Amino acid sequence: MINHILKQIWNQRKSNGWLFGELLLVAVSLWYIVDFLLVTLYAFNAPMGFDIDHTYKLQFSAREEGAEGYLSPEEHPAVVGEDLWDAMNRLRLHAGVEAVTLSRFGVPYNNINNYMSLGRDTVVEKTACRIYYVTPEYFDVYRIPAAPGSNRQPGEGVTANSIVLTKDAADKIFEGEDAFGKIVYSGDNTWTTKVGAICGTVRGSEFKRPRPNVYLCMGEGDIKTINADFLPWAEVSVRVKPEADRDFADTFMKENSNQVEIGNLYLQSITPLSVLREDGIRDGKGEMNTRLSILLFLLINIFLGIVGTFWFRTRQRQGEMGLRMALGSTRNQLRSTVLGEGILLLTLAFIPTVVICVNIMLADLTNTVLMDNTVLRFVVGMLITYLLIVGMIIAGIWYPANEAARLQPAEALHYE
Amino acid sequence: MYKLYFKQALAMLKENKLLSLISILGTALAICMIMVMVITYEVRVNNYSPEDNRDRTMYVRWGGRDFKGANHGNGYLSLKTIRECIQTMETPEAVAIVSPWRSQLASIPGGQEKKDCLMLFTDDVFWKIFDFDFVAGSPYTKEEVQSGIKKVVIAESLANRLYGTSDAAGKTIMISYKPYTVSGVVKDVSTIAKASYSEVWVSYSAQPFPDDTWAESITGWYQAIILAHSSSDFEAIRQELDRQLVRYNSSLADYKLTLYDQPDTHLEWEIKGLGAMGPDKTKTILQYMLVIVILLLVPAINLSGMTLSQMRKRMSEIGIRKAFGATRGTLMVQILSESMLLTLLGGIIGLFISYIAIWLMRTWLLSNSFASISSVFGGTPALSVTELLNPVIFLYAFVFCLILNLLSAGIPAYRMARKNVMEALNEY
Repeated sequence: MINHILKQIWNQRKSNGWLFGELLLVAVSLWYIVDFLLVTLYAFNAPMGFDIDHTYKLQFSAREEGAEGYLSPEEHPAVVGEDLWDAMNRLRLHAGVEAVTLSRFGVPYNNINNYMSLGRDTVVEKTACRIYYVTPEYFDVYRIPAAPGSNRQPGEGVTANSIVLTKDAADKIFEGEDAFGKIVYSGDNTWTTKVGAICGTVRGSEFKRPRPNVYLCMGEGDIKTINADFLPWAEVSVRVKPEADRDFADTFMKENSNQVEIGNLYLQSITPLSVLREDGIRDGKGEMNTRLSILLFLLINIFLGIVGTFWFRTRQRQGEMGLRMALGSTRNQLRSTVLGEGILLLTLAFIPTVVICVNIMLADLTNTVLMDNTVLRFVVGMLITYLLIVGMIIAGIWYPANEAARLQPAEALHYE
Repeated sequence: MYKLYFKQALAMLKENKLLSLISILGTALAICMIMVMVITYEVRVNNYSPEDNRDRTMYVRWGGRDFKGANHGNGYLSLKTIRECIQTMETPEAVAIVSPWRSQLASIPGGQEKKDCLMLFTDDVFWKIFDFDFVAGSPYTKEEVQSGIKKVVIAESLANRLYGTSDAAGKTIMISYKPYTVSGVVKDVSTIAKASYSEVWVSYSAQPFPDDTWAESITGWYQAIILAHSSSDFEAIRQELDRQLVRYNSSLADYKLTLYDQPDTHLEWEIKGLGAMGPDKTKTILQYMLVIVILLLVPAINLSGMTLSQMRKRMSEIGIRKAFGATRGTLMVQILSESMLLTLLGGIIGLFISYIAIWLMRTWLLSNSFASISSVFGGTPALSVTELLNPVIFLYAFVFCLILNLLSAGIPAYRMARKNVMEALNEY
């Protein structure tokens, strides 16, 4: 049967040549988009390393001179940082609040990247790690667990004398050795510290790969010396117990914000982390949506093209169909001949497609920001592309093939 | 005659329901995608309430400082620069001063309700350039701005939230716990209006931000919005500002101010995005047009295959018409107008879907660099029905249908009409 179809395809090579070219072009462009989407969707659904459900970011501000209720330094000698420390303690006591932390450049999805290079001795090449300044409770608020195999909680590891590394940072710096308790050197070797704990890997957003992170301690002393100008960079985050999280942001702002008003300090806003997330991934999502619309557009047009072409071809070949029927072909056989021809033609076109796509991948023209080029990635992408076009061809040929098969032999032969 | 074509087209449509459906949907998809692009462009670039003068508005947002030709830095403009350089120009109708958004806490004295709000700091001319819809009160006046009196205009939703009524003119509002008077209340603004959107508009002299005195006060915290008498003055304004800049720079000792290619039109701002310099304008427009051409061409090629096979069936009819003296022209017009019916049907469906798509995806399609800040504060890119049902949009949709029809049915029609009479009759 296949031999027979192959022979027929060869015999009609002139008109099939066009179709072959079209299928080749379509397959390559479709694969490129399928590959992109596959990688993006995979990255989008991969674990983030933290949990932002029921978490909120609180922004504090301080009254200036001339504001209602302003307290001059004589009236209220404490600096803003000390008030902030007290406010955090009060927040911890608030019913329904599970944990409270203060961080700098630390809230998930923030875009302020600061790096520090770390190495296991003074000689080796250093690894750039993104800096997060946090208090120990940070790991409870955002539920960042200890790295697999490590039983020291990251919250215990971030102290004035020790830091916490993410698993990927520790693996890279210590090349697979157990990093716990070891000394790390800063980029210019002027500063050393101990690795206090290792936590799981963390990603910056759904459209980013995990990157080495280092968590540095913000101690009581650091917080208590914060002045009013620094408040915009002092991010207070809270985790609320799920059962207590009923519109926490609005309710707290309305009913309890005066509890954390100490001295000149006041609460300016509470933003759910889910809102910050939406904001942080907007661009990535926009890009994904654009590609999805291109995919939809291509699919429908491929479908249109295939319907048009095959309808035209089967109509032209009605005489041949009649002849086949007269010689004893069943309707089903006719249908499968036409379908088989389409699919075989596609399979033939897929041989050069694979060659072209392999070269595109080897030339690094694919998106490798989110995932490395692997054989598995290529095979899955190719398979999905193939199945998509097969689906289109079946949908496109079905109608004309049926129409041809329904024809009475005599009527079909009449065309000859 | 056209009535007959119409009838015939309808009959064909009924005869081949499935294929007609497919080709209508193909057309609809193409028109939908094009119209999403066109409407997005229209909403972003053309006049959009309260920015009713976008077509004659220009913006100067950034200034570059050169220190003795060596050090270079960017910033917003200083009040001094705007006053000496831009406000002294003669060609523009008006020049407004704004200082971009900051967030501050708004509340009422002793009240429980508080909201972190985006605030835009403006002068009185701002209210003349943009056409806000005042629900209560009026904007702050020139005298009030000059005297530094603490006055604000607030959005209706904020007034409702704080006072429980939109009639809040004359009431006191606390901004970062400092008392201000509400001068007026305006209807909420869509974040699509990216030059004028805010929740609170504050008289800029009430919270002055210092110029960069260390850089001869050429940069600071302000931007200028220029209203021209008409868009034909744009070139004259650019030239006049260039001359002003030369004069201004000659008065400076160590620093030089550059304005890059500003003032920008609204389209140029849209292309540049947040920064002072962005992608090349012509290139961006060409890319945009290329996408539309591809969106037209790809479905047209695919549709023409179907049109051709559908027309094959009617070869005999064409042969007979020819035998009875129909010219090539008449036949072409007939075929084209018959397929135009299908295209128009697809076009209407496509336009309808594009409205739905824009509405569903408005936060993605219509978000600008600025909307991402405002979304945290609860601003939305609200769409007004009158802007969407703009006759220009219908005209665009019709023109694109016409082009698509010519592209998809033109070649098959030409080939059919050119066929020899004998050959055509022979198919019978």
